[in-house]
Amino acid sequence: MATLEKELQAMGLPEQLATFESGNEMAAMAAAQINYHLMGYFPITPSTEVAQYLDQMKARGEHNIKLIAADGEHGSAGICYGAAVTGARVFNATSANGFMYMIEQLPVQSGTRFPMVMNLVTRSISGPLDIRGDHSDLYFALNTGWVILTARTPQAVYDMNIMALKIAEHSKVRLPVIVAYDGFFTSHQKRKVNYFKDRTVVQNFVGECPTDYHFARDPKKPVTIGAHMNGDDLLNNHFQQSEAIYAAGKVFKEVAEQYKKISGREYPVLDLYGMEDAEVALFLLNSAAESAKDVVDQLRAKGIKAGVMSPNIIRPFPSEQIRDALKNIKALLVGERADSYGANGPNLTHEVKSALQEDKENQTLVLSRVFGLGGKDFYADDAAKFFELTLDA
Amino acid sequence: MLKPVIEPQYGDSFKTGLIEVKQDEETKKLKVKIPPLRALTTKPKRLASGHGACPGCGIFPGLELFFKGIEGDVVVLFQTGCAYVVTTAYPHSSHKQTMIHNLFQNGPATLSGTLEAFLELKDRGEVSVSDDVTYVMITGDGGMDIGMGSAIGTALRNHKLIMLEYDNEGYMNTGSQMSYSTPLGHMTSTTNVGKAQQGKAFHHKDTAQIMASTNIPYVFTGTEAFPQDLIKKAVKAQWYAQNVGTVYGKILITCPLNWKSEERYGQTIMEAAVNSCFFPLYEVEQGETTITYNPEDKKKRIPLADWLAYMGKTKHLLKEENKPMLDDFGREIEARWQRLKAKHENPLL
Amino acid sequence: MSILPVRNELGFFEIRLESIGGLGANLAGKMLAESGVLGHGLNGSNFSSYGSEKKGSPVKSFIRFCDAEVAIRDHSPIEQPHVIGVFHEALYKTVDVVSGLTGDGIVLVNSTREFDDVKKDLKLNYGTLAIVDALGIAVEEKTKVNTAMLGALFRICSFLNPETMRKVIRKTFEKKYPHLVEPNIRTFDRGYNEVQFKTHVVPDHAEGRSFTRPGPQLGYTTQAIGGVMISQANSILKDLSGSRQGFVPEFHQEKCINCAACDTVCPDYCFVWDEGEDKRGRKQTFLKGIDYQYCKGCLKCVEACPTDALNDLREVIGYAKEHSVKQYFPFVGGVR
Repeated sequence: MATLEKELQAMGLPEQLATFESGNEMAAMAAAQINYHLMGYFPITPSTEVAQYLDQMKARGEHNIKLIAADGEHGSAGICYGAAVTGARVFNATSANGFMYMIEQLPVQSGTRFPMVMNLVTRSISGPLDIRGDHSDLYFALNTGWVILTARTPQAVYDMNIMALKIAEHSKVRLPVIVAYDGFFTSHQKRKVNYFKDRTVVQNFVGECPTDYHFARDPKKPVTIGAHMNGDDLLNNHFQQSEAIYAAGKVFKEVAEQYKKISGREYPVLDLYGMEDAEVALFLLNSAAESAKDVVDQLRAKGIKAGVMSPNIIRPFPSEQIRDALKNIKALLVGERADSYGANGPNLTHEVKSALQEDKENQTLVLSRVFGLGGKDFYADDAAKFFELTLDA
Repeated sequence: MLKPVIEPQYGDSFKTGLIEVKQDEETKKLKVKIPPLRALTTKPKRLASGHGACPGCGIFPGLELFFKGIEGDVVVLFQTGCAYVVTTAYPHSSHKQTMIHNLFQNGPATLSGTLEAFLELKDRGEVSVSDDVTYVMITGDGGMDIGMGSAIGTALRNHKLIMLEYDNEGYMNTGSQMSYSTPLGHMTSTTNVGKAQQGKAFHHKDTAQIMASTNIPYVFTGTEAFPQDLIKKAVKAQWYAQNVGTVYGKILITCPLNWKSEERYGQTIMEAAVNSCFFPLYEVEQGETTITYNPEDKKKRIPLADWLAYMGKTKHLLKEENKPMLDDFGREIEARWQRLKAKHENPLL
Repeated sequence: MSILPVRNELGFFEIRLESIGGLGANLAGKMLAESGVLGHGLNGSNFSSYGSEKKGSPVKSFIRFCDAEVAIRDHSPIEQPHVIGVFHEALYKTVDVVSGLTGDGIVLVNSTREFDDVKKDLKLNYGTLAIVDALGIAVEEKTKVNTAMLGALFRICSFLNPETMRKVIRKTFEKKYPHLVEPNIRTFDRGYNEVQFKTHVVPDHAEGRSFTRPGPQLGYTTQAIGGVMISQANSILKDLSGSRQGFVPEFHQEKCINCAACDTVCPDYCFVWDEGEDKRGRKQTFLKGIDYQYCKGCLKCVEACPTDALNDLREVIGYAKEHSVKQYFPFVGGVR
């Protein structure tokens, strides 16, 4: 994915610099370049560094995001919401139990339609406590009404943080967006990453902060935000919200297309590796999908038609693209870093299966496995084992 | 589409010019002059008629009296509770100025975000409106229970906003369950009275003292029964919120429905609560405590039982068999009152 | 053989009580239903309209009766009842209390007025109207309106034995409040005995009244996103006079000293002030009157008034309209 700087310049794109950074550093860099108005935060591993980096940069005068240290994540989410109702640009980052503590706030933010961007640096939620990465926190985000982008690499963390704001503020969307990336694997591992040298490139890309909405900012235009409803009105509100999040799927494609034009980097709805003629495939989120690509190469060297698919956006869930990608797949294994206890398969297994239900011709056998909980590493041989299961099936 | 019914009221609409406040150069304390209540009747109310509160609800006179002392624009945030519920039943609003509702418990954090974002927008030149808006977070005593962390966090960060609590001694919006502000022995739907128990088992929370210990510049108590006292405190609250930092105030209000008291006696019951020293009127200005109305000096002090007699929720406390509980309640009230008087006498306490 | 006089196609005999919070209609509904189910071997259900309504707001209580073997699967509000009990006449103004009444249905109203006046107000063409002065009985017996209404409802539901209700009343009060047993039984009996009926011949194939199911003002194309509202203070369009339970403050301007004590304590912002000049020509404000559209009749102002300028008044129909002084609101497009 990382295109060489020379090539980029040759393409006439804005100048980018290469750096060697982690996902958390890149999230902070994107936020600083956008120069959000405000961030309310509370530290929790492994997302803590995002606020630390921003504070360091602020100390150096590199941005002027107002950083407010809250009394906990519930307070931090409240601060962000309160700021968002003024129409200001708002940013946050959290993980695991911090996310669980603020989750009450999330549907309010989406249901009252105030955009913002939050980085969810995924980590196992407690019970028992485990500070390392899995997707048990992310799965609680699925029903919050937030758009969810999934970033597999530090480069994607940077890029998606820039795209996220543009999607959130789009007139057809007006919803908050989560950028989810894997705790430690992506948040802490350093990689070579390209970023725009001049932050005005980023600022021009996201555009002016829209002001033509009903905000709490001008006493001459008083508003009531957050009135309570009965079912008749609430149903209408939620219908609008449902339309908006599906619209976000289309807007994602538009924004990704525009972003490709300035960055040279491409973010399709589904990242497909070896899928065009694959017979067996894995469906994996985030960093594990990258690891599995090496195994695809090895299997293909042996003549096995293997592939990996990984969505760049999971809310809205790209059912149509998944259906298309799985047309000729004999067996698919959906590997998930969290369970949905007692549901006979974790959340995304069911979503993939339900996407296929719409295609009466489809013959794909869908297997489901839970792996890598609590940061348990995902090795190449684990991926190979997954492929074995699909081949046995 | 919903259309505005009245022309927006803002700015000068809410400035009477009849209220004076200045800092005494020597003591650094505020000196306030307010006109007779009659002169303030032409100031528009911040809240509108047509809200759905119960007859005789004490919230609305309490809030409006406070707003009478606030000159100019406000942005209010209401935490979930009766005052929120009865003023914002979609598609109706009883708010003339901007009103935000978020959740039950993180209103202080939320409003601090609103205020700071506004200031940031202003600093960056992205809004060009006057910045003398006063931010007021309004909560019931329930919101101050579940939201104590948010309130203390916000106070510790010392944002320039006011937190105003209307205390009706219970979670009245949900059917009169006990709150931590419910006093000892008082009957609620979760502290029932019967053979085996006599109302609430422990003493009421002293929220004003908790908030005072965050060392914010101004803390006060007030009630509609002492209107001039409350309005003056609102004036000071606005000055401190605009110039120094966070203000917290508690107004005690009646809930005739759940106190099982007569609607018409709302103000009378408040007066008795103050004169029995259950609810002393005082302020903590820059850390120094002043009792603003001392019933003993005025020879108005009454026994607690005289206050309790007005309310159905406390009449069991007046029975002979509950005397030990009433005495316990009395001792606690007296101890808190004596401590408050000591603070009033000594600026170092 | 069913004891129920009529049943709809699902086998239900249905009753709807129309009231405001605080009059005990919910409790009356529960007791009525319980008596049918536990005392008479019927099957039944009872529930109320739930919302964020406070005391004084319109509420409905629903009672469904059916024979013991009939399963109750319906959970929805009763739209076409056989009996409607109206606890509070002032509701007519804001609620269509007889909406959906079956052609041969019975309406019971708590009122002191004449049959023809009530019939006219409710726009009833035929069917049975029952009137009981439940408030009068409750005042005389120092009990509650709902008990007198229950007496009348038992008379209407002649398949129920009033003795079962008397037992419930005894059981409710005898342990904690034994002195209330007799007045409550008297209240119930007086409601039972004093209710008056007038029937207008129901033509063959009489049609019931259609029920209008209330819908939202806004739809998904007209609701602003996120439910934000820019219609500040539009609650002033509401009429809250239906919250009053018989009393209003009466204002005597000549005794008023314009101290604003009433304005200070009023929860509903009903006092209307005028600017003018005092005897010495100084600018002053004067209390002009009360906007009864918002007055819920709590009478705090009467207590607060240091003179006799405000006093209690037993409200009679038409008083508020005649004496109301409208608030000055800066309406968009000028005065309404």
